[in-house]
Amino acid sequence: MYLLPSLDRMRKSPQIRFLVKNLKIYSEQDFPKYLPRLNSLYDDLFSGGKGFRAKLVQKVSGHLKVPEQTQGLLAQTVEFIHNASLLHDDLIDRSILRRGKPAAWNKYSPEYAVLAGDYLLARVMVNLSTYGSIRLVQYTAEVISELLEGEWLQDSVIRDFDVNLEKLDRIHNLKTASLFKWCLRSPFYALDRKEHSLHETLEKLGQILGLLFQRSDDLLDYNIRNAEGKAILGDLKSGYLNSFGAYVAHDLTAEKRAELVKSQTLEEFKVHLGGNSSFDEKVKQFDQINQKHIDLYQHLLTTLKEMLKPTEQGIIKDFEPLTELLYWRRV
Amino acid sequence: MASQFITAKKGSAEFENLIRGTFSETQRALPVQNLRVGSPDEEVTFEIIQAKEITSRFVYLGFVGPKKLLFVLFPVFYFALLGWNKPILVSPELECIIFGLILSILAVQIKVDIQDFISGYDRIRGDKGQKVLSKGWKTVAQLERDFKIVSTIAFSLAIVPLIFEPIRILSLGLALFLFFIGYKLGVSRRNRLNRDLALALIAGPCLAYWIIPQPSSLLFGIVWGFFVFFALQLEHFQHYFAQTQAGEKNLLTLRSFDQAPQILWAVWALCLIVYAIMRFLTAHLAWWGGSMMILIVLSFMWRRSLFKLQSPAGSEIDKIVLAGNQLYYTFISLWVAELLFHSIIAPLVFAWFR
Repeated sequence: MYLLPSLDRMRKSPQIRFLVKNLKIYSEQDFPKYLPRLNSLYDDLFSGGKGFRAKLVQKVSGHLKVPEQTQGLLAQTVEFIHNASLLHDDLIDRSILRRGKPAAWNKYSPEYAVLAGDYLLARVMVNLSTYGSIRLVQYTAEVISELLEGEWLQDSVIRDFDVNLEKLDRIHNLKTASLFKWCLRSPFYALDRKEHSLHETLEKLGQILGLLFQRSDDLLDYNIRNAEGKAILGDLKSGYLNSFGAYVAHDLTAEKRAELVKSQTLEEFKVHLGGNSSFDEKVKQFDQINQKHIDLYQHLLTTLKEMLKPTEQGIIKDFEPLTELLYWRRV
Repeated sequence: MASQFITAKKGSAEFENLIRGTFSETQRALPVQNLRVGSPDEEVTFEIIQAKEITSRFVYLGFVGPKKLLFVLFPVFYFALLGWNKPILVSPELECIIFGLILSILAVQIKVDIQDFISGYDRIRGDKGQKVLSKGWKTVAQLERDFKIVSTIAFSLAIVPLIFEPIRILSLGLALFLFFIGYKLGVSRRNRLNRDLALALIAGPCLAYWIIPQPSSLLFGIVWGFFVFFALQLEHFQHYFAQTQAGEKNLLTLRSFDQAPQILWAVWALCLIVYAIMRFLTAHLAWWGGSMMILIVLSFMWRRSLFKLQSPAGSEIDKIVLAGNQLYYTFISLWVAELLFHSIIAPLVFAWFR
């Protein structure tokens, strides 16, 4: 396996201290000791997260035989970026809870939440630049930019109840899908694998995964496959018409749409939509649209397979069930 | 049932059959994704659907929308109404011009759509554009056949006005030259500014001189060209987000989004100024003052919402574009009302009283 000299050096470096196997993605030593509240804030933030993105990076990296410490660095990077976005996101949305606990801005202060998010993003750049792959650093910076663009744009559609699905998809492609794409592509960059066609295919796969994840997450708001007990109509009540909301509101008249978005309970929402059967029919149609994306995803996997070395093709097997997990929420 | 997808390399026989729709009588292949766009290894993924599942009755309405029709038909009606009592256009000449122009738009639009569809540009750009090919209503092979028929009829009709006024060859030649230049400069499909300028010149001065080959008609043509250019910018404004992401260059995407409303407003203000000058020279002062007052009030109402716009992503931009279109149509309606009044109603009333 080819490794960049600098990557090889990094592999032996004692600086990366976290453990990859159990995905403990940071240790106290990663952050300055003279900022105890920052450490305390991160303890709250990182505990309770599913670490899905880190696991995804680890899956891809494992098949590519990326060294363990490099895997750890990549896993840490994606979780740092993700959690930085959550810190900022909660403040922007004024969400009081995160993972069942008080959100950082609420528990500490809005200023601390902003600084802690910024600090995580700065650490990402410090860690990655020490690593030596300029392409990986550049790509990561692009992804962070996209994430922030998406966040900015999403904020601009708050209380916009006429927004359509296509526009929301564009926002989600920046805000949600960019990190999924990073999970799939970064292990290849870490090995200096820069084939354009390979990255383009991974980009498209990541885009579909991000879209499906977001749409499935949006369905939770309407208590569809909501095993994790997400608050019902949380998005709508906070003035955000999510993808499913935009889909069902699209065919309604302006008056009916205005009534629909004022719904305070799911029952009320269903009544405005024409009853339970109309609601169920809309869910079915929405699922059918997304099933098409799932089918395209599966087709793209066959394209990806041709681009991988035989020893790497285990990736396909790991990728195949991802849509089941991310969209249908079947574990 | 799971959707069926096929990926084919561009240039291969399989790709040609899929993109042209000749691979099956009962199925259609709709491109959904391009990989390695512009490279020799470009691949396109098609979704295969059953032809019987596709239903559309108004295939060609998608090509000749009201705005495009207005681009070419308003100048015709302007001159026809202006010369209502004077035989400046004889009937067969007028009919050939009208039908020739409609068919020319149709032919150009069919050709452009076929090219955008095959190159994948319509999918890269992200906006829906025409749906005739992307929805599978017609295949490329069918549209290519239609293009030949439509362009032949349009070309035949274009010869007739030349018989009446051979000098028209000047405007036809210039229009073809501009079309060629605009097409060539826009080959990358990423630079729309050149194409917009070419289109404004063709639909403006060239068309005016084509209808009435006299230097005086150029004044109207120049003013109309400005309004055509504005209508094109309004369309770009609506798709600012998608176009910047696709790396497309047009007058608005040259600058950041916060400056785009200012540019759009500047184009509209310029339209109003040239219109005001032209009408000051040609219209009755009372009518000029009245119509300008209405347009200025409506324009500033539109400006207020335009300058309040915060985001290219929400639905607000669609509403502003709709209001911009209404302003554009109001301007045309006022002009048509004036023409009708001066050319038909006033002379009739005057004759009746006499």
